[in-house]
Amino acid sequence: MAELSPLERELFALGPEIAWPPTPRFTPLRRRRSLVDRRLVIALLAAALAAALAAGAVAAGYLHVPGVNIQRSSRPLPAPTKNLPTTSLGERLDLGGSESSVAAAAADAGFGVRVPAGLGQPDQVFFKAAPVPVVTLVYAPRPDLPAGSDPDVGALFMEFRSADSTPFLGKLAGTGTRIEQVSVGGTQGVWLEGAPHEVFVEPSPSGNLAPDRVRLAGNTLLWYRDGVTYRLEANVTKERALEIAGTAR
Amino acid sequence: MEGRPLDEGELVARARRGDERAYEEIVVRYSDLAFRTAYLATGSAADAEEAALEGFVNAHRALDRFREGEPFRPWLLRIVGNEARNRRRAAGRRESLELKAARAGRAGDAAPSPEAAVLAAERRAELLSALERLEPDFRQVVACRYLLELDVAETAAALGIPEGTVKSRLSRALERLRQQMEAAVHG
Repeated sequence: MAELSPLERELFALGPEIAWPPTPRFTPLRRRRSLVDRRLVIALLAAALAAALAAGAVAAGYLHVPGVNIQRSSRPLPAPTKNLPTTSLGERLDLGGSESSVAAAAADAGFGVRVPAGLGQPDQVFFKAAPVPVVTLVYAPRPDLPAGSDPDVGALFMEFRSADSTPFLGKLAGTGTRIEQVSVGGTQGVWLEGAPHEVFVEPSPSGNLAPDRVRLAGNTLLWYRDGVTYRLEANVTKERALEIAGTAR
Repeated sequence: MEGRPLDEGELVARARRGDERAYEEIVVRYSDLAFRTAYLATGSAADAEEAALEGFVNAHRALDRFREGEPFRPWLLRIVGNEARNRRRAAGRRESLELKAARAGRAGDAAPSPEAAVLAAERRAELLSALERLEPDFRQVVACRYLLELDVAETAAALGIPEGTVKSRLSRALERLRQQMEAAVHG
């Protein structure tokens, strides 16, 4: 190794003198596990969002409901991370364990699981028990359901029992996302389309609000019926999504 | 961890087999390094925190792609550095960095005379100021290599550039720093 010059020695000596910002305490594994909770929160927020939209709250750019604060971001949100299929689908999307059938998932979940006839029988079914029972139907990519940020997913159809409120803070949509109130078979719903959305904020270890993002962020239709929240995510048009939703019986 | 501390290779091997405590130990060991590397790239403590955390999450997810026997630090720094640059770009910020010298001297240093202490503090302030005036690409490479004491391979990984580029930038950056310091002394 070449001998250090006086300047290099000075620079090395300067390193320990630097007043770095304090290093936070990182808990990445807890963060990974909590991803599924936030995925649920997205959909839990939907019911509250729908109600707030009806009240005209979205016009001001803010939605405020008990336990939830939804806000439009003032800038575009980062694109979702591409998921490399190195782990099982259930693991990388935090969907829970794989199920043998829709009927088995319904038995575990304790509510009637709807299958959108417009999509047909799912390619995979997942069930997650906590924090609330959630069933996810996964459809592999096909010509009418192009893959989004995960190469193995053409559409995700999630359904779960909704809670009234949740102690999360949520930032819902970036500047490039359109939010539209829609009617899904006579019940109120929300359509999100465009730039990546559903970026949530949560208190970081230092107490600041820090952004987090879900890994799929295709066009999303959210609606609520009979105590169950439904969330359809797929790279399809609003009309097609509404059509699919109408076949979920 | 029970008993003696595990070396890096053993920790990584355990983490790859799904031992979460081993990965937590890795995170504890490299928290400062990851956070400061991200801070150099983003210039923001909040962004650095998120970039380092996301880096640790992504590294854990990608552990099965890590080649056992390879050095872990550059691999981790590459992931963290990528996250940090993505965040800086997403925020639309230009790279900027504010570094301050905190202490008058390191523990264990012989107590300097008041005059020597003042001179040393002035010299440090000059050096920091010269560092801040460097172009971002040069400043980054100097900060990684000397302030964080990364080796050339680690610096290249953290900044996402080839090792040859690290070396050439270092050489030019040192030359500029030297000129600035000389101008400060004679000016």
